[in-house]
Amino acid sequence: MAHQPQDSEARLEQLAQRLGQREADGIDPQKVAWRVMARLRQEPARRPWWSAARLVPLAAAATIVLAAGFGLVQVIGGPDVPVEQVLPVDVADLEAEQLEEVLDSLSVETPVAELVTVGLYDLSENELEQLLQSMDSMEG
Amino acid sequence: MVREPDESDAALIAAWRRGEEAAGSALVRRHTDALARFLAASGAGEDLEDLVQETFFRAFRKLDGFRGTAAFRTWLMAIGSNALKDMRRRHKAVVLPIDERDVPDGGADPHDGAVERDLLARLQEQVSRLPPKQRDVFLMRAQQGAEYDEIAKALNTSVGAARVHYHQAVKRLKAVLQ
Repeated sequence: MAHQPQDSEARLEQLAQRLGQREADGIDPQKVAWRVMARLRQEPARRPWWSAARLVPLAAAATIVLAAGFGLVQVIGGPDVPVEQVLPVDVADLEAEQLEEVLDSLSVETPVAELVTVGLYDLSENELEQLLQSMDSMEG
Repeated sequence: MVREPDESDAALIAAWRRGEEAAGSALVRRHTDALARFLAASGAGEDLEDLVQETFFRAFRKLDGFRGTAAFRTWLMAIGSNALKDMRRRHKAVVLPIDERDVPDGGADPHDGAVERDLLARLQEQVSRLPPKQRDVFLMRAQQGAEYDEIAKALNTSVGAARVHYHQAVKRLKAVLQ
């Protein structure tokens, strides 16, 4: 007897559930687990570009820019404003755009500054937080 | 540390992220059979065991980015499908013809068994020849029992598109039953 459309779909699903079963039966899950874990131990995950280790050069560049900015303000006789008014101490509270504004306000127009500004603009909230923490730890 | 067999995938993933290797092993053991069936049905052939290992390896490497929006198993299938595609590209593997396949037994009755084996062999052949997206959706749903929304999330597509892929696959595969 010919299958009705719904029947043939159900039959197809029934058959599909059995596809690959014999091949799968030949695989030992315990052995797979052991090999996968061994390989993961041998080849640890590569860190993403925004990981703490990779942020160090970026944090260093940002610190240099900030330091250069302070230096320039002091040396070229900018307005005699206390440092804490130029850059609020609690930079961790700043959003990416606010931090960018701070960097812009230092009037340090160097290629490095541009590069870092673009980089910071692209960072997510988490990445920015990691960067700021890195900076804090370098300052501390 | 021995993991509890009834621990959820989410609990095991959390434990793995905390550095418990036993949780990773438990996840592998739990999903090896389903993943192997999926990959075998996709046409993995003799590379099956390597592909299963490669898929788990890639999955654990990516696990930090797994947000749990799709079920772990369905997410694993999507990774497996990509691993299969990469392996085929590297090896330029040819799908084995039907008579070289190890086709499952159909049942107790010798006649029924022969009919079932033939059906399964033809179905296997046709499934492995489906366009990758149709094949993935068909197997995730028909073989693994995943829902469309779960499939859509794992394959980064819409529920509507997943439905369309499924019905296109079914349309092609129904010919096997005739």
